[in-house]
Amino acid sequence: MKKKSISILLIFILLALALSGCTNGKTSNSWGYAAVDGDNVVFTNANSVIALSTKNGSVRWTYPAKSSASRLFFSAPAISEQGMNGDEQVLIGDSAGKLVSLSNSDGSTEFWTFDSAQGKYIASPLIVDNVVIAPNTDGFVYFIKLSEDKSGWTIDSASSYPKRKDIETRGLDTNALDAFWANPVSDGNTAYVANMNHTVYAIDIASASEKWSQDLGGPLVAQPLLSETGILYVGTLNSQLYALNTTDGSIVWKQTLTGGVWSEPVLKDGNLFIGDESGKVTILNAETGSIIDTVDKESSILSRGIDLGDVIAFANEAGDIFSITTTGESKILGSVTGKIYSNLVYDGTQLYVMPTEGDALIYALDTEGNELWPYSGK
Amino acid sequence: MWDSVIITPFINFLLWIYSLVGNLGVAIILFTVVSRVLLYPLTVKQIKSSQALQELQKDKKFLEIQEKYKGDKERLGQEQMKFYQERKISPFASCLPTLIQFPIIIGLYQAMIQTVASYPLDLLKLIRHIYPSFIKASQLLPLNTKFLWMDMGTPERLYIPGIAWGIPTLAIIVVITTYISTKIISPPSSGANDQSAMMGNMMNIYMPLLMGWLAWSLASGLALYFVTSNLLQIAQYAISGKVYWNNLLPKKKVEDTKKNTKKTRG
Repeated sequence: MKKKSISILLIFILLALALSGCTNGKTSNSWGYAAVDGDNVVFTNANSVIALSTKNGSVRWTYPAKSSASRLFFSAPAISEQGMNGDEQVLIGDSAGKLVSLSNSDGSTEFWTFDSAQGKYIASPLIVDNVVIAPNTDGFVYFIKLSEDKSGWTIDSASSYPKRKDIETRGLDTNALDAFWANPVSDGNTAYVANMNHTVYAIDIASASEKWSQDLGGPLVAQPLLSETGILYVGTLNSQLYALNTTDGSIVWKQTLTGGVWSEPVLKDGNLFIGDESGKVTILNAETGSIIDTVDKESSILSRGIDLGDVIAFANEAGDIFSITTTGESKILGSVTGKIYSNLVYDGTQLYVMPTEGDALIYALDTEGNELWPYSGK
Repeated sequence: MWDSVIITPFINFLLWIYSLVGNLGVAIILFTVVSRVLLYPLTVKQIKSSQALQELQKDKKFLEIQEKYKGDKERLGQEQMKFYQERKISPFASCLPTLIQFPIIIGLYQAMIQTVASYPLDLLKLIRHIYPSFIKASQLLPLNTKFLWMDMGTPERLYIPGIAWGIPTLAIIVVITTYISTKIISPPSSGANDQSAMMGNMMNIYMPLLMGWLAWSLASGLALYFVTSNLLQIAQYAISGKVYWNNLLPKKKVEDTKKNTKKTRG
């Protein structure tokens, strides 16, 4: 009888672990992102952050030392040259609402930790001077002011947009907006953040107060693109691409695409290149929004394009990486196993591709699409 | 196949309810009510089978077998099975409706998880599951996931001023309601050697703990589904036939059983 009861108990424990594990994250729930700076390419993979050498893909460090199913990393790390004693800091948020600043040299030193958020970090943090802008799924954008002294980085103060009633008190806050998933952008004074509630907000960084907001009529998960001329380009999940005036948020033009937009466009020579869920790359005149050309790749394009100089590189769900010239000619550069949803990353010489359900977690390719090294995690 | 036949219709139905009420918490409750009503015939069968088994265990001959072979567990099991066969009753009959419900419950569970869409891949899958002619995803999203003090997309915790940590109230309610819903229809044990009763008792302990663990660790939308489902199940048991509230008081049950056994001997 004892044996039977132990067997039943074991079955229940296994069932609990399987159900909570398979539904609470891991690679099946989302895709990771990468960032590259200097010698390290840092990427997230479910419950760990891994830094590899850009030269050969060897592991530089992994974080955390002990991974946990309750701490998942699905936002792109942000690498800042502002570090301690010349050491860069890597900012990374997790699914438990914790934002940490790590040393880019060893990944184990935590310069500081901010854990007041109550949702997940799906958006990547943005560092503007000494302020970290961190949108969260709890419906707040956090502005964390840092100061540096001899002992290291410390958090000087933290505020939020909209204002949380008490940033230290947990529980639902009626001021909260819907979730922020999109990465923020900034011109140095103003942060532009897109919310799932269809609205783009322009927020003054110094005061964390709203300058303007604009309802775009569709859910927003894509990072906006901020041009040097002060135009903000934002794509929506309901297949619209908008150009907004950053002065007041007014709509300069609006264009309908063929599918939902998950990433920002690339601006090159006065033209915008944007992929969508229908598998098409649309080339538009950035000033007027008129469509110049459309290239059909027949597989969803969720990842943003990368300007490689002569061509723009895109990747699709089928695992193909392809180039598009400014005249709309397309060529396959290479393919990887798995589905590409994550943004391509480029360091000036190498492309980094992170497939979901692929043979490797990340590939380094040259600009011709030749594989330089894969990293499979084994 | 599983996706197109089970999960996609469930997701679309849940979102359709959501489009009427505008709150995911309320939609989950209504969705659970409808699914429980649809599964009601199976629940009735389960209750009837369970009651038949329970009546059988009060039988004089059954109690005699218990007493006679209490020192030989293997023989006791054999004799019990023989007795069930003689009376043409399967001790597993009450489990069958549950087994039939299981794929549906798994489907509901997966639909719930995907509808909450906490991560980008979940959202992509959700958008692809939606029938575009039936539901306009871009108008519906983002879903209003806030319900009472909870966010349906994250594990539930109730924060009370003065207490540093959150209380997992839904997980506690899930444990209690699961315990009650399994306990009140369990056939009372006719003796300490009744193996099926002992196994049942173990299930009565492990199942609430399992459900509580899931409610503690997963999105509160799922915990809300568990609580609603358990409460409806208890109500259905109460409406459909006998419920053994005394089973919730272990000591009393044992005393009753002893009295019954003494009477039989006498």
